[in-house]
Amino acid sequence: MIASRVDFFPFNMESGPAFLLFYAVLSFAVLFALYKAVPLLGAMYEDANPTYDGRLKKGRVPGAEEVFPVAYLKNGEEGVAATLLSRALAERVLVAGHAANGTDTVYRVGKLPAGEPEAMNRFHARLASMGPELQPAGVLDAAKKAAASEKDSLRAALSEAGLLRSTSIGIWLKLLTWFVGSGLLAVGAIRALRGLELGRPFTFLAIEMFIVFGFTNGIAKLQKGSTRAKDYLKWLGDSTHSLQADVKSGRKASAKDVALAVAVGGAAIALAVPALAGSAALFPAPRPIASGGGGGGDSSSSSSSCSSSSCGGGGGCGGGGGCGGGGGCGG
Amino acid sequence: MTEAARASLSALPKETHAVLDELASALERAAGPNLAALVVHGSAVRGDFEPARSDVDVVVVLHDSSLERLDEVAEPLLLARNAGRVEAMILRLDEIARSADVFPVFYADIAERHVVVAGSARPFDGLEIEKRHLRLRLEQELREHKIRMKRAAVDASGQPRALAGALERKLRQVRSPLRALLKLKGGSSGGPVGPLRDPSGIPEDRLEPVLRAAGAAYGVNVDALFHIRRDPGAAHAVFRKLLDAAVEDVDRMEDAA
Repeated sequence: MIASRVDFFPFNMESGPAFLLFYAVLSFAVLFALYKAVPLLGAMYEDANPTYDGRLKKGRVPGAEEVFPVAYLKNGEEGVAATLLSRALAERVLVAGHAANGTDTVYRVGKLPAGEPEAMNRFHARLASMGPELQPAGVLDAAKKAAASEKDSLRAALSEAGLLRSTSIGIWLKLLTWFVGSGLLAVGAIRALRGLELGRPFTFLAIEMFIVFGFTNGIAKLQKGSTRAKDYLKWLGDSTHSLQADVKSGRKASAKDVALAVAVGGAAIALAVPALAGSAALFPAPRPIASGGGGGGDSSSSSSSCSSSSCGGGGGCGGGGGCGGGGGCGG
Repeated sequence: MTEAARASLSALPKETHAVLDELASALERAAGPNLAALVVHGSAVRGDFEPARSDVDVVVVLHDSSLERLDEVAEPLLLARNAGRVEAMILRLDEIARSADVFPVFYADIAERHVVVAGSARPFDGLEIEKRHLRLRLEQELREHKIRMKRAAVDASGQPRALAGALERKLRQVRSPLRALLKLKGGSSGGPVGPLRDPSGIPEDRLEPVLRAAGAAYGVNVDALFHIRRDPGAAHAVFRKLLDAAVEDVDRMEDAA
């Protein structure tokens, strides 16, 4: 009955490798086009903000306040916690020392310099309220809670910058992906039913359909984060390539540089910073990365969905050995 | 960037070139006619640039350095710093010649070798450095290096590796003043005052030739300075001897003046 109803191309092709090849080529072409087209569609319908004039956009280096939205976008709340901690350690607002027993590491909270970002002020207040000596686990917990409490304001900043994809757009893109994928699966299913009716084997076709299902599912999952955010994070990663290497090697150690490098590169950067080497317990291994970029993309997801001056020796102009010192350091 | 500038910087890695190119274009766009010149100097033009270690030293010369004008150049400079380790000094065009008396070593370095990659001004071409200014600044710098080296030796007490690290850093820092001193000695035939003229026989502007030339000038065998890790104590003794001789020499020049 099915065979008579679908007695047309491609369902009436001869049994054998011809249809399998046809189905494989068709599936590859359609899924590849889908993989390329869906992000473009996403970018078209995401809420861009053409009037946005802040620092969370390509061509501008994130300032001290913006590193936290960047950290959230890249690695969710874990990224924010790592950025808060690395900035606090680099600024020596959080100082590692030994407990009374002489062996355990404890942290003492120092004075916060003026002009720190708002998120740091709140984190510092949280730490200061915990007592004079803090255990590493307590510090880490405080950073996680501080990061969680910043979530709404960070999302608002990202939304204003047009770097968040709304839930509805994400759902529509997933539906579109599954609609197209289902079409491919339907072609295979009809052919399989026809084979069943005619008593012909369809094992290889079933395997191909399983692969098509897998790829469709993968493409649908990729639609979690904002396309614009992924593009922005890629640009930011390229633009801070040298900074990240310098922070990792200890060549640049200012709180501002360390925070930006950790926000963009994640806790792995913090673990490599020589000055933070004694605080590895504060930077637990990141959770497995699920997709490539846009941690804060889906509004339903909370986190981790994705991945001396050259003047010469010592000091600035006019200072001892400064501009008068001639030449570049290290160079 | 002009073809001549591009050719002068051709030894730089492709990535560094791209960052400088982008910086030049971005500064021209952002500052417009306020950009007098973007000058590259240091290891990037000397030829001893090491991609993993060296900064790209630039001087951004502006006509107007008010806060608003500085804001215009901030973004390109920040981007270049983060992307390609470009370290910028910002100077106003009209202050360069007037500040040559206080920054003679630095300016003499730039004047000797630099590449202008953007802007139409040539602020370091023909810049005159007074020998007496250079002598004073050299004495100040060399004495300061002596003082700082003593402190570094105290900090590294009992730690040969730390002493070796401090010595290596200090050697890189004294390269420029030592070379300037050799230049001053060679160029003082017309007396200790007056403009500095480039004498012949000045060593190549790299660490080893400069140290060897200084060692020869002051009768100090500097071989130990090229094997610091092997014997930091011996290297420190040689360094101290060399620096003492250089300071004494530059001090004597004052008497001659």
